[in-house]
Formats: sequence, structure tokens, C-alpha cells
Amino acid sequence: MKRPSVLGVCLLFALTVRTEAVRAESPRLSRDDQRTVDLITTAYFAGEPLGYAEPLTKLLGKTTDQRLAKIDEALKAQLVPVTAELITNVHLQAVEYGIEAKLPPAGPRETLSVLARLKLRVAAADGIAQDHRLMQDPLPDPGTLEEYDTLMWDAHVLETKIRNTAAIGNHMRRLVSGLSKRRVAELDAASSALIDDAQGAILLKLQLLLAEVEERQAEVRLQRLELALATLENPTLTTERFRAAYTAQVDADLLSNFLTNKSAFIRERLQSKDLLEQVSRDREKAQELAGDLTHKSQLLFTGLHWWLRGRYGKGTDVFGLAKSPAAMYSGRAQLALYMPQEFPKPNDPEQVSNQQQPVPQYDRRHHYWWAWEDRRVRRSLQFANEIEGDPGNPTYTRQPVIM
Amino acid sequence: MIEEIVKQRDEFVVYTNLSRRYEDDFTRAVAGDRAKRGLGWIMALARVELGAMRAGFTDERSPFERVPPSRYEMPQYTEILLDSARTHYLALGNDPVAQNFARWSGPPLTSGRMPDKARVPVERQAIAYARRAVIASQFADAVERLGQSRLTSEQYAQLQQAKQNLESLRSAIVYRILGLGVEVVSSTRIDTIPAGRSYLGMVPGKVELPSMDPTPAPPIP
Repeated sequence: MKRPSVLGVCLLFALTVRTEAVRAESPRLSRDDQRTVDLITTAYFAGEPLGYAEPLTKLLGKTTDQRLAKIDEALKAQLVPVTAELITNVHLQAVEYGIEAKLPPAGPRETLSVLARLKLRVAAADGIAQDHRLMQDPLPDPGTLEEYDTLMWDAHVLETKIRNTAAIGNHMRRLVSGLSKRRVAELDAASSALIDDAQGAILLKLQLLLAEVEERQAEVRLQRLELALATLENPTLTTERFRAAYTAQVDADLLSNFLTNKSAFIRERLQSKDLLEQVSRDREKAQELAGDLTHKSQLLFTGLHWWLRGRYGKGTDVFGLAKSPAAMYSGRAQLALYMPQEFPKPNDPEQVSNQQQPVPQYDRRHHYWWAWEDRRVRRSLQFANEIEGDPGNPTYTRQPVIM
Repeated sequence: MIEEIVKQRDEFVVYTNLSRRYEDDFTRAVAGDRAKRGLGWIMALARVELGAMRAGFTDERSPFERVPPSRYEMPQYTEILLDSARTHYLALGNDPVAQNFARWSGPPLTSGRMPDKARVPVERQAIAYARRAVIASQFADAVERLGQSRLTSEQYAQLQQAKQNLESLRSAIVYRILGLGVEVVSSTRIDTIPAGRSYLGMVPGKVELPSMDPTPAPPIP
């Protein structure tokens, strides 16, 4: 039997395997442009979008369409996305980490290009929200706490997505404010419409959508709290009772926080004046019924949560193996991870074909992370799509909040 | 009951015996059920990953012992730790890059000066492989400490052999390739490797796990 090469397990390729044959198809560039392409390419294959922010912004600020087309061609020949896509990724990452202010100032070309792509993201996220089961009436009401786990995960994924998208909407408005009035007046009709949307309508729509998602999620938590209380009434120790001890406290705490910090609600059930008090009473009752199960269940489920993050979470850099250097100074960047949108089902690493995505991405992290020093972790198309691709169909999303 | 909660969820399944893919048909262990479920498995995996992180990114001498297993998950921990050590060891034994480094006889890449442009990728790769060899060695050390009283004399000898091979590779990279000092100890040279199965797995014969073979190094790509 042919012995599998270690290159297989170490997922080697990328930089050094961008062959001369590929290079041969690249257009001829000036020395400066070639240097820029090399800088961008190196940062791209290192998996560090913020690393190519400056050369890209500089390039987009001074170049002509014709020259840019040649550079895009050169990037494509090296299997790197085109400049418009790359610069959008830069902005997206900055938004996710809350470090937009650290980006070099965008010129008109960059602003319009990024706005157009961000608008597509916003539309895709809106579409996902409209089809989500949390957004249907009546609200879903699973019969068991175990089934609620999946619903709450789905709801949390949606909330995170819309929250992130609202941050994108905010960034769009900020980008527009950087354009001069004279420049805006010169724009064609389509670009003007884009600027108008980015100035306010998009953000407003997303803020309303986020409010609705949060309220629906809160209402589902109320349902789950009721079910947990009913479950705790039965003293027989079961897995459902153990779950109830945990979820009752989590839901009561999150609901109290939510109801305290908001003054007005769209949904009728949340408008009840004594709801906050009721939640507080339910919390105490649940604790009384659960006894020491409350603490024990918290230890278990908190541990399981962090285990899942460690097992399936992907950082933004080095193909999921690392977080951004921004994590050194940004709390958001430290906590942020790409997490599966659905509960993952691991597959057998020995049975996974080349066409399949391994779940989790790394069977053991220590088998791979030594390789990041020479940046030879494979960059598969599937994986690239998860992180940077079509927002309408990503496998992963950010999950920075404990459920 | 806690076991039941963990076992009933697919996301907590841990696949084991990953080193199997580096073994040939003759030495490969029987597959068995590799999908493991239970609290012990997820705790064991977390401890091994955390220990490996310490091995790779700190200079702690016993990185795995800082996060030792409890009696509860000891059997699972032992299995995952041993499987990981075998995987690192066998993967290195099959890696032509590691073999090139182990046989390096040219001048160091960076003896007192910056490497030229063509050699930068090789230097970067050498650093990565040095880290890899250190991680593999730390795993072998952890297996040794964990199995102290349980290893047969033959298993112990095989483990020492594996550790020597890994040390030879690390030493070749650090001293002869990266030129980071003078190689004082040269007694780790392994000219012959006994055939058969080591505690960590098949001791590579044809594929030659890192040895100090003094054949000329191939040209730098």
C-alpha cells in the first residue's frame, strides 16, 4: 500500500507551490506594481487581511482602471482574489474587530467599490433573517430542553449575524462621510443611489431588524424558562432536569439584563409591566428547586461551551489556526471566532476524501500549527469561501457571546 | 447522567487512532470503533491540546504535566497522548523535508549573516521543522513519564530510540542548518535502526526517520 505522504497531513502547499507555470500567465507589470502585487500576495497567503490594507489603499488611490485591471489579472494568476474583493475583506475584518479607525483613509474608488460589495452582504443577511425559523409566527416552541438547545444556537447565530451586519451598515455610513461633497456631486445615478442608501436607510433597516431578532429571542427564552421551571418541579434526576437547572439561570439572567436595558418593546408579550419581576421570581424559584444542580450544571455546560470553541472555532488568521494580531489590543478580536452555523457532526479523518471538508477542520490542532511558521497550511477553496466568500452561504459565523 | 448528555451529542465525538494512516498494512492496528463518545474523551483531548500548546509556545520543561489528567479520564488521556506522539513521530519519519534536514552536510544557512533571498524560505522551513521536532520530542517525553512503571524494557528501549532520532533532527536543524552555536553532543547518531515496532509505532526502516546520515544534502530549492 502506498504510504501517505506527510505532506498530506501537514496540509502543505500554498506559497511555494504557486508554480512558475502560474506565474508565466501573469501580465507584465511595472516594478512598483509588481512589488505591490508581491506584498499583497504574501499577506494574503499568510492569511492576514489587515497586512495588505495599506498597499491596497495606496494602490486604489492613485491607479487607473487599466492599470488596476492588469494588477487584478496578475493577482488572479496567483490564485489571489481581485483588489476589490481583497479591500472589502480588509474593511470587513476591521469592522469585526472594531478597529475601523486604524484603516488608512479610503479614497473615492475604494469607498465605492467597498460600499457596493458591503451592500450585497447586507442584502444576503437580510434574506437569511427573513427565512429564519425564529422570524416566523407563531414562534417555534420545541417540546424538550434538548431541542431548545438547537433553536437557541440558531437564534444566537442569527442575532450575531445581524449584529455584525449592523456594524457593517454603520461602517458604510462612516465611509460615505469621508467623501467630499464635490466628489459626491460628480457621481453617476447608480453610485449616487448607493451613497444615499449607505448614508442612512441601510443602517436604519438593520437596526430595526436587530431589535426584532433580539425581542423574538427574548420571547423564546421566556418559553424555555417556563419549560425549565415545569421540568424542575419533578424531583427525579434526569438529563432534562440537569439541563433545566442550567438554562433557567442563564435565561433569567439574560432576560433580566435585556428587559432592564431596553425601555420600549415592539412585541406584545415583552410589554407587560411586571415581566421583569416575574423573571426574577422565576429565577429564585428555579434555584430553590434545582439546589446544588445549578452550580454543577453551570460547571458542565460552561466547560462544554469552551470546549466547542476550542474544537470547532476558527480564528481569522493562518487559515483558522490563529487569531488576528488585533487580539493583542482588542477585546472583541480576542473573543471573536468563526463558529459553525449548525451543530457540527465530526467526520472520520481517515475517511474524508479530498473533495470533502474535514469536520472539525483540524483533527488535532497540534498536528498543524507548527506549520504556520513557513505558511504552508493549505488554502483550500472551500475554506477560503467560509471565511471570505459569499455571505449568503457561509458555513461559519462569528460567535463571540456565550450562549 | 453527565456522560449521557455528552454522549448523546454528535459534536462531542472524538476520533482516535489517527496515527493509523501513517502505518503500512502490516503494522496498522485493527481499526475498531474510532469514534469515541463521553466526558473522559473530551477532557483528555482538551488536556493534550493544551499541553501541546505549552510544548510549542513556551519553554516549560514538562508542558503536559502542568495540566495532568484526573483518574477519571486517565485511560482516554493515555490513548490520545500516545496516538499523538505516534502521529508526530511517524509523520516526521515519512517527511522528505525532515530527511533532507537530518542529512544536511552543507554550510549553515545563516552563519553570522543574513541568508540570501533564495535561502530565506529554507530557513523559515527549518525553523518550523525545529519547532515540530521539539513538539514531537515533548510528546515522547510525556509518554515516557506517563508510562514510567508500565513500559516493558523493550518498549523503553524503543522509546529512547525514537527520542534520540528526534533529538538528532532538532540538533541537525539548530546547529548545522541554522548555525545557532556549536554542536557539542554528537553521540546521538543512529546508524542502524532495529526493524520492528516501537512503542510509538513502526520504527521506520526504508523511510529513515531523521538520522545523522552524512550523505550530501540535496541542492536548496
